[in-house]
Amino acid sequence: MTRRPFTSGELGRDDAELDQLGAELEALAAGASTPSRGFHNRVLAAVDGTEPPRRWWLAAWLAPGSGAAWQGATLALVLVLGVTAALMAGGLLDGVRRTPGAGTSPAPSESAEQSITPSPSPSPSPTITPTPSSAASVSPTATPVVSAEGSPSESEDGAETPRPGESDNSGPGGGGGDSSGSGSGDD
Amino acid sequence: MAAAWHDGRVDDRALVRAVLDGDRDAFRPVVEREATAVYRACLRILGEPADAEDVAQESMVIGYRSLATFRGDGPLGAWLVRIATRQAYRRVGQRRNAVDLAAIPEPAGSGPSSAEPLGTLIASERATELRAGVAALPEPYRETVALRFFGELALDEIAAATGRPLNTVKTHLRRGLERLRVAVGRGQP
Repeated sequence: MTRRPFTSGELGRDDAELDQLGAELEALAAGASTPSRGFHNRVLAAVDGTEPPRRWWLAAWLAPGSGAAWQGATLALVLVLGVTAALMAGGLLDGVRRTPGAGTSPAPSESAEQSITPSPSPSPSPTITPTPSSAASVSPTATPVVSAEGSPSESEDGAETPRPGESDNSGPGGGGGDSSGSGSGDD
Repeated sequence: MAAAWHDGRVDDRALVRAVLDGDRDAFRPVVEREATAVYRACLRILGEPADAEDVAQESMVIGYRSLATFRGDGPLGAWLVRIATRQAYRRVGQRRNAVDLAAIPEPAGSGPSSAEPLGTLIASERATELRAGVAALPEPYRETVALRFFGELALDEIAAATGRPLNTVKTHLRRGLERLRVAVGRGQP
């Protein structure tokens, strides 16, 4: 006989079919006999032949002897260290992005604009105002109007605006990149 | 202190601590107290006494070597039976490659006793069918059903041994039995 007869009521709902199935399973279990005569001695011999168990640090930490306060303190310390490390990693990434950021951080599209605008700015602007090429990519309506007044300023604007605009644009844009970077770093 | 476990009243945690502190003999009462239950659980799963003894011995050794991971949330016996259940189903999986589970003969004395040969045969076939049905259940239903019926553990002991909430264990047992009922041809899910 099993020590605890099964009733489906222990699962919270009476079910005659489950009771019947449980009874069959218990009948199957009830037929189990005892082990052979020297079984316990064989088990003890096998245990004697193995290496004694050792505490390792995690097991010692999880062991019944170690109190809940100690476990909680250790867990909290590990969490604090993990968060600190993640924040430091995020800060380092930000630093790496911002220090050489003037030259390198712009997005590929913006660096393409920069490579185009420097060439017009030193040279006579009216002739070189083929900024339509860049204007085509940036703002088609603005370039014809400004080119009449002075393309140098426009070209300087074109050269300069990317930087403030870059910093402005890269604020949200770079911020997005940063946040995604730090986000992935946190993960 | 060294032989504190000899009085038979020391709890499982004290036994485990004694073993981990280097008192190898502290495991002896564990073997004497739990090895038969471990063997029975293995026999109910495997159906063959020789296999069951092998797996039970293996499970006791694994339990001994893994004592450092025993947290003491539940009885040590339930923890050992869980190890044995896993080992037994591992053996079933190994055997399944070579031999059809249904071909394994029923051990002598198992199943309901009957004087009629036909009744015995039917009972034996039914036992084999049930055993194979439980073995075919997906986890965690198989483990829960096996621990409840073959390991003879109460629901709270299963919860402690597996680290699952009691209500989760109840749900797993109910679903496992419902799947088994369908698998062995007793009603609809």
